[in-house]
Amino acid sequence: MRFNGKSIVITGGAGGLGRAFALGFAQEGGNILIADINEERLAQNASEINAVGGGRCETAICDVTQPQEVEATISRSIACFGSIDILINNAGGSLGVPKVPIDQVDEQDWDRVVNLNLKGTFLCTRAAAGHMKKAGRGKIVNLSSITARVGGQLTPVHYVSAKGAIIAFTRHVAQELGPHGINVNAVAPGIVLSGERLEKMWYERKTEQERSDYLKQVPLRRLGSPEEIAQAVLYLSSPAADLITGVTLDINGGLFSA
Amino acid sequence: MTLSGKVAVVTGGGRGIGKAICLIFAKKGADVAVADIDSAAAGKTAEEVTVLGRHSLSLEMDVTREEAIHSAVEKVIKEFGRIDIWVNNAGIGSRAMLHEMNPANWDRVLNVNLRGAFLGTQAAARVMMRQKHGRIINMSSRAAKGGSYGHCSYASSKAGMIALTKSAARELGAYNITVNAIMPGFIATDLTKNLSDNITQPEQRVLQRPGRPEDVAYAAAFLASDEAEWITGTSIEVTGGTGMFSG
Repeated sequence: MRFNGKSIVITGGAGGLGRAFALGFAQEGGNILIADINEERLAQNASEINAVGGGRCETAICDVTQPQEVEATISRSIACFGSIDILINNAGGSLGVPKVPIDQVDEQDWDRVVNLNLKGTFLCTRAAAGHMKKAGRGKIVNLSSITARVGGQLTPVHYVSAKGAIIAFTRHVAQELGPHGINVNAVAPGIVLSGERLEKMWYERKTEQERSDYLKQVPLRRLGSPEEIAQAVLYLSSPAADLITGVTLDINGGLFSA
Repeated sequence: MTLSGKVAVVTGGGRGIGKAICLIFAKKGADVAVADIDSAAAGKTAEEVTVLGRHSLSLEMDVTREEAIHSAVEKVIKEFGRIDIWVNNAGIGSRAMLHEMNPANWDRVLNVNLRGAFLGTQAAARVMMRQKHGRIINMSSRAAKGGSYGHCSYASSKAGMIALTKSAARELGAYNITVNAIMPGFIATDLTKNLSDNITQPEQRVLQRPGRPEDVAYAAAFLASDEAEWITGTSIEVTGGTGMFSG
């Protein structure tokens, strides 16, 4: 039980990855606050997580691009569980913006996607860092993406850029918070079908031939599962990774490695 | 995280990081074949594995000798029937400035560190391809990406291990074999006791403590576990923040 009694905040907790992370932490005794804008899915995930036993799961309605909502979410985790030990900056996505040539990218789309992925990660980290510094310990895991490494075969430039910036953000904040006993790392997953939008992109927008050609480039010949990403996030959040900070761990079946 | 029932081979398992890997693997339920050029040291680690309640095998192995690796593999297969995890950890360093370095020094370090890892990977791959599963872990170093003042042969050998790791991952992925590397920063061991942590003075460290062999062993245990099933070709830095090259 690596996370017995730990207090964990997971943003994007209504989605497929957030759900897998929360289930993983709960099974090992962690108390989790899942935050998201999708109230209905959040409640569904929470009841599922609470049913597995282990740690408790609470919910917070939170748009990570809104500073007050982020502050309230972190305060709520402290009110519920007495501390914030682990922050998983998982809220993100491409918001369904079109993948168009760079000369046609809409400025507002750019702002929305970069705000959700990068500013959200910044705001949550800012809100949690003060508490973690006072405690003299903490773990933060950010979500980058393989698209940050290789460019977006499937994803638009706004998303690729924000996920790339998260790698630099991770490194910088790790240097700054390391002396306070706080580890900051990122994971960069390859394609994981963690929700309907991704499943649609994979099964409907690609032909069988395209899917098979893509998988031939992946040394392990398959896509990943949310649980596999969760296990890496749990590892980086655990005491076993106490000497690891500032890194971005590639989890992609071998398609690319920094 | 468990390695329950797995069979692991660890080269350079007699001391330092390799020994910590053997003991952490055993604590997590693996049977361990401890290989080292120093057979007494291998024997001692193997005894400690046995004390932890796991089966062990002590192997004298000079990783520059192909036949020594092959006979070790035979012994492991005879004893345990398979190899789930192979850790290429045996390595040496040699301090010399580039302009003064004897090429024999270069050859020796490359021979043990890089060629040894190649031979180990090849031997492990042949067994694991038949099994259709396996984990290979190469002990690289922060020096692979950051270089190392006065240790260019060491740094070059460790950089070669990164490319070996990525290439092997590409070839072996279809057989459900993952190949990953670990890049430790300064770790307090016998090998490093005469070196200073001169890349980062204590006040410059990001995390406020030196690395311990166990820190590296935990990373190896993660990469060897079922939890890391979709991770291959990658290199994890375990440096306390003095590298951050993989970002």
